[in-house]
Amino acid sequence: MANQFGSIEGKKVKGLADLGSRCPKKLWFRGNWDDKLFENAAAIIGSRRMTDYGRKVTEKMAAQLTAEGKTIVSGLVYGVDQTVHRACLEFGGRTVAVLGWGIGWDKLGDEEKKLIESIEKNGGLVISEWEGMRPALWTFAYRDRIMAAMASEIYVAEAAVKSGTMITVEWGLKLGREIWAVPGPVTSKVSEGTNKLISEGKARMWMPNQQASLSLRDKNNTQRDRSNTDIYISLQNETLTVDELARKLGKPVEEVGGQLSLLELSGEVEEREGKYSIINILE
Amino acid sequence: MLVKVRSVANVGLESVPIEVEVDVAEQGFPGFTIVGLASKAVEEARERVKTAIKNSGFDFPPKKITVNLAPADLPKVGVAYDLPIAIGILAASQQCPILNELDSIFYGELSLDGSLRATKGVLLVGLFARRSSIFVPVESANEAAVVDGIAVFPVRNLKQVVDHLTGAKKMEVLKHIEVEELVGEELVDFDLAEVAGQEMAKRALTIAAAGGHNLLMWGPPGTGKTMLARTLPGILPPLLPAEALEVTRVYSVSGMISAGETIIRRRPFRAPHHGVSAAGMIGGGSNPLPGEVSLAHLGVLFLDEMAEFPRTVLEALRQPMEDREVEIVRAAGHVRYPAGFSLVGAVNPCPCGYLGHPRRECKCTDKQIRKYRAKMSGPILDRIDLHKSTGGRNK
Amino acid sequence: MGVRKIQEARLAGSGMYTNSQMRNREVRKYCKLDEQTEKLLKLAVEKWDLSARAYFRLIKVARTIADLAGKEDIDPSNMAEALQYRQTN
Repeated sequence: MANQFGSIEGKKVKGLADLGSRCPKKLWFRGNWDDKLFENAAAIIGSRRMTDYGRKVTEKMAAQLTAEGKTIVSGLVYGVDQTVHRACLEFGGRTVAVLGWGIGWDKLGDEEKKLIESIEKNGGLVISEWEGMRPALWTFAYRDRIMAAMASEIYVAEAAVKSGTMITVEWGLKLGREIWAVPGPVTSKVSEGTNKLISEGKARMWMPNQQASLSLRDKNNTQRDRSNTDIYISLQNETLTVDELARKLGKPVEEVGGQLSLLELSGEVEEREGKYSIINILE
Repeated sequence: MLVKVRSVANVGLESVPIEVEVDVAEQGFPGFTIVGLASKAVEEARERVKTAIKNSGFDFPPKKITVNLAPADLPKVGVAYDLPIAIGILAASQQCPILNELDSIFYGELSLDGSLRATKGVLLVGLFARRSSIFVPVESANEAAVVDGIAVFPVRNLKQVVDHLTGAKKMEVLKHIEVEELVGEELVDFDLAEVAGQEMAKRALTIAAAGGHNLLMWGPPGTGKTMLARTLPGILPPLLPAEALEVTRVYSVSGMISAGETIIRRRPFRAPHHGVSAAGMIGGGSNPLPGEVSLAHLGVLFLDEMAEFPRTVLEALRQPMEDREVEIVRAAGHVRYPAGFSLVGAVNPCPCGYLGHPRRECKCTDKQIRKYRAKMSGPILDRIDLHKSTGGRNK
Repeated sequence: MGVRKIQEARLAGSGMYTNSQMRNREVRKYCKLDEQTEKLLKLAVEKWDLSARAYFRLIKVARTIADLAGKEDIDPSNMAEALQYRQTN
């Protein structure tokens, strides 16, 4: 990790002046500062305890907003934030991470370090109002005001009613930012917050736009032969395990397993904890 | 009068001949000394032998009795020398003849009432005996029934042996059994067909069995990982007679052959709890006994909740997985036990177990999940060829 | 078990009797891959950042899968299935 950080006066950053007396005096950053990043910034936030559903939603959101030319702002923590940054980068977008700890605090995991490097390399920024502060409960709450202020719109993928994500939303409401939320299963704790925002009229309901044109495909798109097609079709609407697919298609598990491997390699399908789903973000 | 009685010491799976020399001297202060045995064991052996002799209706000679277990420098552990010592004393005090049975091996622990107790290692005694006769406790005698060319006398009590030696009542030799008769049946405890669903996991087991690969199953609780693991010994090819004997030797030395049991016929399935110590896993103790890896020899070692096992214990598996045997070094020398086991592990996907579960939410933080997964020993994971998730059932 | 006999015959003289016991040297010697299978394996190694050890483990498993199917040579479908059992953590 490089140890040279840039710094800028807080009020010089677009949107932060709205915080008034709560505006941070100084912001530290890694990457190349570009004011243009903040001209059209949208924050995508959500629960650390992201579910499968949350992940799909987040990826769709990140892809779509990136395609619309927005800079994506998020918080680099596990769950929705990291998914947001990664998806944005994969779609060739620029992303800004606002940290809940000091810019120089080095006790990060390898995943986080790699992500930070990626963000910098791809024209984004990693920002913090502290130099060496270690993360604590209150540092994330402080960070949330900066995220809310930087963005002109805030998108909530998943959130529990009492959650850190909601702090950002509260700031967003205070600052008059546009809030969008994604509805989720009423049985899911991490959709209770988002559903509530929508039902109380505090947030508009966000639905994916089916016409975006970016596609997440590997360059080595292995030829999908006929035998793969039925698997592909079966996974259109559901997430299934190998066993379930095999039963459905009446094929031996080993055959289905092999075909799924090929589909994984071609980037058309992904596996998580034994379950397979199509990667069809924007088709 | 000096008498010599043959016995056997088992060091690991090796047998060493022991000569029990008993001298009952006319001169000298009455006493009962045993040399060539660890001091604590001496006290206890003296008590057992003396009381057993008396309770069997014989005289314990009030003379200077000296017993030497040769070779003296071989550390002998265990209680199997009660019988040869007792016989030696009776012979040396002319309460029973021994000349005809010079070649016979005597081995077994005595109870205070003179009866013989099941004793570890009888199979090894039989294998060592070549063409001799062996006098061993009746409860353990069947172990030796499979050995060719020996006469096995299943002894109930001390008096029975003496009656046999005096000719008052001859004992019957144990009927020999061919190993081939006992082994080779498809003995299956848990059948794959009985496990509903989990086709892919079963396939993984089939591959594991076919190629001797180790398998690690990942999945939330309740997805049948244990049940699946238990089917593996049945899917593996049946034990060959020589293999059955190998397994039985380990169990004999561990004292794990049930009374009257002949040999182990099925591939073992061992599932130690994650609180097991390194010695329990690999083998050890002052008289090194086989550990779980040896008790699972030619069978399956199942580690449920593998991430909960202490790192040191998992690391200790490396060598046996590599060499298919365990070498335990003691001051007295090396003991080798076989350890050709198949490893099956089961792990939860995260500390709470519900990561990826279709209905229940995972309550773990990212840090907890990464830390949990990092617990799994890299070198052990490197030796596991097959990974299978058992989670993700949608219904 | 017929599959065991195949392995014993293959590994005769090496002191091993199952595919899992093969070390890298034996894998190179006894498990030659055709071009397509090799390509598939390389693709997997790249995409999933697999280690060298994982590479050899995959070949061993594919070899057993091929043995179960009675095939003398490992084909891409065997390797594709073997990939299902790779370490993903």
